[in-house]
Amino acid sequence: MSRRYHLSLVVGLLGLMLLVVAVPVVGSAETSKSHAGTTITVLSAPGPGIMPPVLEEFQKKTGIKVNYSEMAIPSLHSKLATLFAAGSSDVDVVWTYSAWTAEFGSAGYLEPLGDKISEDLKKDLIPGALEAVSYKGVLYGLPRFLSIRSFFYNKQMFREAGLNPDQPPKTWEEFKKAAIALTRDKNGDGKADQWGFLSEYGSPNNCVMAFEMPLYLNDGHMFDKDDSVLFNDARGVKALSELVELHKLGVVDPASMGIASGTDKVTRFVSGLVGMQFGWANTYAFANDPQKSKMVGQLGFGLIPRILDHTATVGGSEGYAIPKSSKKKEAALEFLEFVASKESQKGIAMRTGWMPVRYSVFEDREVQRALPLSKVVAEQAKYRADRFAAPYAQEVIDSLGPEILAAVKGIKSPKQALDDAAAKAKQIVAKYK
Amino acid sequence: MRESLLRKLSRKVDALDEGTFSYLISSPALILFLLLGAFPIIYSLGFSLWNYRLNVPSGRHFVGLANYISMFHDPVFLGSLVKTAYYTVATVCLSTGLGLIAALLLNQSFVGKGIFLLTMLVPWAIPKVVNGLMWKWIYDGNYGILNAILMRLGLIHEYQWWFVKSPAVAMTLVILADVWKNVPFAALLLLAALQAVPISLYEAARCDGANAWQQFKHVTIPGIRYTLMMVLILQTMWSLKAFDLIYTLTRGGPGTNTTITYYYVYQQAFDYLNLGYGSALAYFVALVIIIFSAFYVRILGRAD
Repeated sequence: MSRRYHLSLVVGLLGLMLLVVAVPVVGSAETSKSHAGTTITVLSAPGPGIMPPVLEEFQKKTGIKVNYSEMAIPSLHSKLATLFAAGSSDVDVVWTYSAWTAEFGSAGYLEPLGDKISEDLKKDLIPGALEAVSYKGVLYGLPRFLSIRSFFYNKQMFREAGLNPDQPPKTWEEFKKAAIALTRDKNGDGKADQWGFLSEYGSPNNCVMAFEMPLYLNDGHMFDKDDSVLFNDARGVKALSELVELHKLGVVDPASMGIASGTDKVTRFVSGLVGMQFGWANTYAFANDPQKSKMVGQLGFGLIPRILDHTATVGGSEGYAIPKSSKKKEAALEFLEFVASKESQKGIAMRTGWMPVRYSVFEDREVQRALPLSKVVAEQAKYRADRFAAPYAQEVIDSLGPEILAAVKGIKSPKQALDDAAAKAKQIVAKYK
Repeated sequence: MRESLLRKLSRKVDALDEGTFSYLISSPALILFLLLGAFPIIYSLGFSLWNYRLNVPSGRHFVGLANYISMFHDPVFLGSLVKTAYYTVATVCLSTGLGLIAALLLNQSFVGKGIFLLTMLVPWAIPKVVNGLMWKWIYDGNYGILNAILMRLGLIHEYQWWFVKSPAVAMTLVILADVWKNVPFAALLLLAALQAVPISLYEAARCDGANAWQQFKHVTIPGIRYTLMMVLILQTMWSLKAFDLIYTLTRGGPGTNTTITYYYVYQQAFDYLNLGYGSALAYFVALVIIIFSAFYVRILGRAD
């Protein structure tokens, strides 16, 4: 073949490369000023059934077009970090929860929204939902649903164990007694085949959540406001000792060792082999789905049993925030407010079972009728609902999780495990200064 | 005007010597390589000399070789080196050993050989991520088939959560999942090599009174040594760079029980967004792989 033929091939390829590079640049140069007709890009974590109707309604009402995509959480984390560090304006709204809000908010990547949200809306938002989008008193976004852990139990197993299914345990002592009664050897082989309590140790995140519950019930904290370790103080040691005691009593389902997600946990709970758990709101739908559950119509729920004189819980709410680098912040804010609006919140709650982020929606009779759990969640939400969040949280969790596991397996004492984790945590925090 | 410009260009192209013209037609590939390959490699070398965390923009500063020095004081990293060595030696030996046994069997004539060969290909055809998820289910403490089989055999009395048993058990389970996937590759390459060994060599060996072991040692192994070395090289590289299986099966856990070095690099760079330290670790792993490659290439050269 001739040289000219080769050269024309080369020129053609170079032209194609230039085109590939140039097209996104040209396409992103949108300069519309009014919100209607503006296109915003939303990057979200998955949430089956949560967003599609909200997006459709938002676009219909505001004329703002939404370019919405979902990514698995680990990939989304590194994608967002890269976009933020590059100062990209390609994304206008990002999914977040407490840990990411702390991490990206304190890095200066998220737009503070405290003075842009009306006081009426702020007053109507539940603190347990706000923890997903706030860090050290700064509001960086608005929540999309409230998720806090509630106490769930199997009424049928309560009856079989001689417990009153209409009176769930209110204190930790009552909870332990119920766990002992529920742990049974049903087939008579000398070993338990039904357990009192389902915990979670399948990943460092789950280990730490298992520890956070008794920690908050004991008025403990993970860190103070100056990032000094607190989880190994007397309250922390007592909290972990409570958890370890459950294992010594033999009432914890061995399956807890493999629980690495909310889905793992609820799937195990509805198998009908374990009597009690602290779970998310989706437990209600799971437990009453005949396709998935062996305890349809048998789900009981209540407040998390108290260790001191009040209940407390772990939060897992989700929300949306606006990157500082977005060039369409006003349209993005309109999107956030729409998701947190009463109409959207009622729709999400009725459709998915995830709880609303506003007090006023909890008072809605229709919501109360459709979601009997909402009454308990509303009551639980009046108390502390916390979740460990800090820029260094993931690294600390990855070193604390195995120590929690070592304590519940009896390899280390609770104090030793927490002291070892605290020593590592101090080194980790120092790297973020 | 336009035509004359084209003519001028054509004349210039015609006048080019062969070397320059070769560079010209290779330029798109070279540009792509520079943009997508060389640039990130050099850029990340720069990262490795900085304290560079994506989530702490205010703390970025030049630290020189500090990241490289601190990795040798990092207990998780040092532990990951030991685990990587164990993982690499075990997977390479088992994959190659079992692959060789399978190849020797497949080199014989027997009924159902075709079906056996097809069945063997299945693990190799399965994507690595799917392989990881499949073994996760097999080992599952609630519903896993491994527990079911061991229960039926009476070896255990209740379902076990294998990964939390001990670090050694956790790592062994990961190795088994990797070996299952890699054996077919080794077997197929070695089978091709076995089929190329002349029958006359075996006949001559038998005439000289060589028994089966002697034939294997003095005819088979020398006949397949080049392919065997290739299998060893590739398995070693893959084991040193193992990531997919760890990511899907254990995420390096419980604790750091299955955190091998390549996964630790990922964790630092993408979970903790510590690009400076992550890049330094990645360069270290790259260096180790280059040393191994050079070592193998040298041996291969001698073998040739």
